[in-house]
Amino acid sequence: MSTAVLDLDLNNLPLEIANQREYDRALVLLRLDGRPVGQALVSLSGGRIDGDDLRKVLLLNADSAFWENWLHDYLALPAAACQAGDSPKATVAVCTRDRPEDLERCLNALMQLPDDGQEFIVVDNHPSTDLTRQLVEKYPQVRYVRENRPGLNIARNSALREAANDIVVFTDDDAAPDPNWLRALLRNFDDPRTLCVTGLTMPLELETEAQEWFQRLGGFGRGFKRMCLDNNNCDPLMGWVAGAGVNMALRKSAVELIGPFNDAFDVGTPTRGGGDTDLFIRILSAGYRIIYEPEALNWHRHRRTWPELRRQLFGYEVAGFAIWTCYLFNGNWDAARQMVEWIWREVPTLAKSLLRRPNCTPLDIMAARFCGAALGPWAYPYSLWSVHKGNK
Amino acid sequence: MTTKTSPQPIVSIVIPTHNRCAILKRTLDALNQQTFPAQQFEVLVVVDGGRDGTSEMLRGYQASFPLMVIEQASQGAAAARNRGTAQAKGSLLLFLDDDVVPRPGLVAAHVAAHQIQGRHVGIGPYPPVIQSSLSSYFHAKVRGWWAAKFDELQQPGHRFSYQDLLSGNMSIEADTFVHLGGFNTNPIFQAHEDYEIGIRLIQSNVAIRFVPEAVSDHYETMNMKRTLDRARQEGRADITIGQQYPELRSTLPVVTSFESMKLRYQAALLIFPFLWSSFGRGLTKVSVPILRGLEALKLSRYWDQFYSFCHWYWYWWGVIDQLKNWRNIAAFVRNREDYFYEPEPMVEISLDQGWEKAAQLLDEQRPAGAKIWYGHQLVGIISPQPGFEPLQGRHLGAILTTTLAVPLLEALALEGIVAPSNIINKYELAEAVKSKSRWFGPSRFSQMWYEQYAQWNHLQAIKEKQSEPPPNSTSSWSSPLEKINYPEVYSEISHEK
Repeated sequence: MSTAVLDLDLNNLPLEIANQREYDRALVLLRLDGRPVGQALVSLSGGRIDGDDLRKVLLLNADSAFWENWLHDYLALPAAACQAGDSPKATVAVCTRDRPEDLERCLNALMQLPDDGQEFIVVDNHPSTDLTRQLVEKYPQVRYVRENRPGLNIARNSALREAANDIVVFTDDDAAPDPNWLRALLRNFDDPRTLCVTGLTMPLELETEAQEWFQRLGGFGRGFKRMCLDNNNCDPLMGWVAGAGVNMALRKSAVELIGPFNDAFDVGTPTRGGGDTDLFIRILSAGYRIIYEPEALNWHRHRRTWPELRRQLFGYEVAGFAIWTCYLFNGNWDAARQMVEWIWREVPTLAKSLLRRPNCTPLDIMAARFCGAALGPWAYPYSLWSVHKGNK
Repeated sequence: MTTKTSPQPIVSIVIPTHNRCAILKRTLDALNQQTFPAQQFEVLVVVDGGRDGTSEMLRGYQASFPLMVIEQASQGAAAARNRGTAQAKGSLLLFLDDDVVPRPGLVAAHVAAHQIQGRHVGIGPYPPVIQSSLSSYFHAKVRGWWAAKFDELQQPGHRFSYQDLLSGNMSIEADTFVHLGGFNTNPIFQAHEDYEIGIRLIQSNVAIRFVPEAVSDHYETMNMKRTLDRARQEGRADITIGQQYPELRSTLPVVTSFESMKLRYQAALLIFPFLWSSFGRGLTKVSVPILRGLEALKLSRYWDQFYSFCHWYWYWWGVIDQLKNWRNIAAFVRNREDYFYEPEPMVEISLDQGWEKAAQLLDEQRPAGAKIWYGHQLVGIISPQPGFEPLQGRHLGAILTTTLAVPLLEALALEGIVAPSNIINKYELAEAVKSKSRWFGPSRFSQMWYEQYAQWNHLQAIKEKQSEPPPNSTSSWSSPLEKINYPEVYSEISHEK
């Protein structure tokens, strides 16, 4: 059995949830008057819940963020951060490689965004076929940019170069935004210290065990509470806490302040990821801010099969350790402390998996993560060398 | 020379300065650029015994506003400010530090803030600007501290205490200031003279207001050594504050840090500065090089820990300067029961009529503390806090959505406000909210994942229970007097069973 993903507004509940026969539980995104405020995990018996029962199970299983928002609405308190001036204009950039089906869904969803004068770019990274270009030609509003050097960060950098507007919003080809996504991201740029705003990413589907486990292990979500991160309240080397590249908006001037994305990182290079985290680390270290805005919601299709999941989590640890190695190379000994602490943290989790304790992480996933951690330090110099070779 | 038939100035800007000629000039230049008419304010610069040619610079300075220069032998910022105000003609005083460079709207913003009825102090933000010459980790930290402080003050529901009174960009009506007797010129107040006037302001019911539009840029010139020396001055000043205002002792770091201190630190405190003073002298020599070394290796976590240790040590050094021996420290910390804070009677407030009504009531009564009710449910007690301004309506929303959020939600659930009782058992609902109380509040590191993880594990546990044969008793919620089959608390599930 798998998990249904539902999107429900507590102030406008449907009469019943039915036709979910193949699901025995549901991950529910809870909204209040359209705003995403929290989530609930409920069990569906026979694939349905009706009427008042629905409200009951949702209220009993709602998380703390939902209740805080509910209370805020009940007391009719004024909204916290209301930007006075106009939001800046944005360029939405989708970096893709050979995934026309996913990209089509992504572009269709992007076309549903209210028109605030934003620009759309698709960066086709080292494509092996012509399908992406043919697809993009069907969307007159979208500009096609081809980047022949492989690597997600290289594609992101070319998006930054091509973008016409001050804010560049990145999303992945396997994600689809909520209609209010872009506006929610952009209204957080009023403070000049804010170089980056990230948003909430929910799963598009939880059909397979692999997708469920990815979500269970954290997924791309960073919770339902707004965070304002700087080097005072967040250790820069833990920059991944700030968000992920699937849902982030960057001030273009950040390139002058802290440099562009590091070509040695992320998908398409031996480091397998971490290009976003490396940038977050540099933003935080330089004393600037990153805001996590949970109302900026998009949906991501997680990897469907178990080997893909294993490979992805392996890749995350490779990337994490590659980043710390990079900082260690640059004389940041705090990265060594991070590595030791990672082992200190994860060995008990591994032990739990070995002993098959309840609610433990599957053993093969933990094994993949440890392999990633062991390989990460070598991936960074290898990646540097490949980039160097590619530039020649 | 500038006493042409100009009208009486409305605002008198008082700037004490000490050996910071270049930055002071920038401050004066910025005052030339104000949107507020230059003839309606005057500037009084009090040169507090400098030797860097400040007086010469001031004599030659071409100002569009009336500029008065007062020179005195070095007596400290408090005395300099008082000296300046004695000659001020304006009805509003604006204190600026010599390294605080105002943006064009600053004076106008302060004046506008004082148009509102009632006596009050306006505090404007002066976050440090990023200077390329000060790019060290220490300076990044300092910027972070200031930014966090001003963000805190900016919260609409912030309850001000005397420790929020920052005198670098502060405005006050002249008669209120005179009535208070000005800054305390006791030479012990080389630091925290602003806290001291803050205490008297709150005692005499002068409201503190944050004026976010009165922005200025702080060209901070502090370095590590000076900041540590300042911690020592703060230690000395805090003891004096505690002696003068015994009811505030519990708010001073001397007492709070002593009480939260582990025994081994107490012992170290006893041994090092008193019995083995050569250790203390050695530490003062090596600490800054050690901090530099940690910074060079970018060991930021260890830097943070060692820096806060140094800060703590220097602060206690100041405390010991004043109190001299261990017995006096113990007496200072323990004897505050003698002066136990006597709160005014608490008011009882009911939220039944909506929280705006309750807020109105708080605004009328301005109590030190309050008991909050919803229907028959006691939501919580806001206990009186010494050194804080009285409770007002604007504090209520913030308190209800943070510290009292869980009990208020429980009360609302029990009163049937969240959902009517035919849909949901109110006790079950209240318990469900309470079971999540540990996740409430701002997002803490990794907590968001733990909460999600607990939700998945909770569901897993329910599934496993359902697959077992059902017990005979039905779990109907007919009477609250029945043994209630509460849903399991997350914290129990997240651990092994």
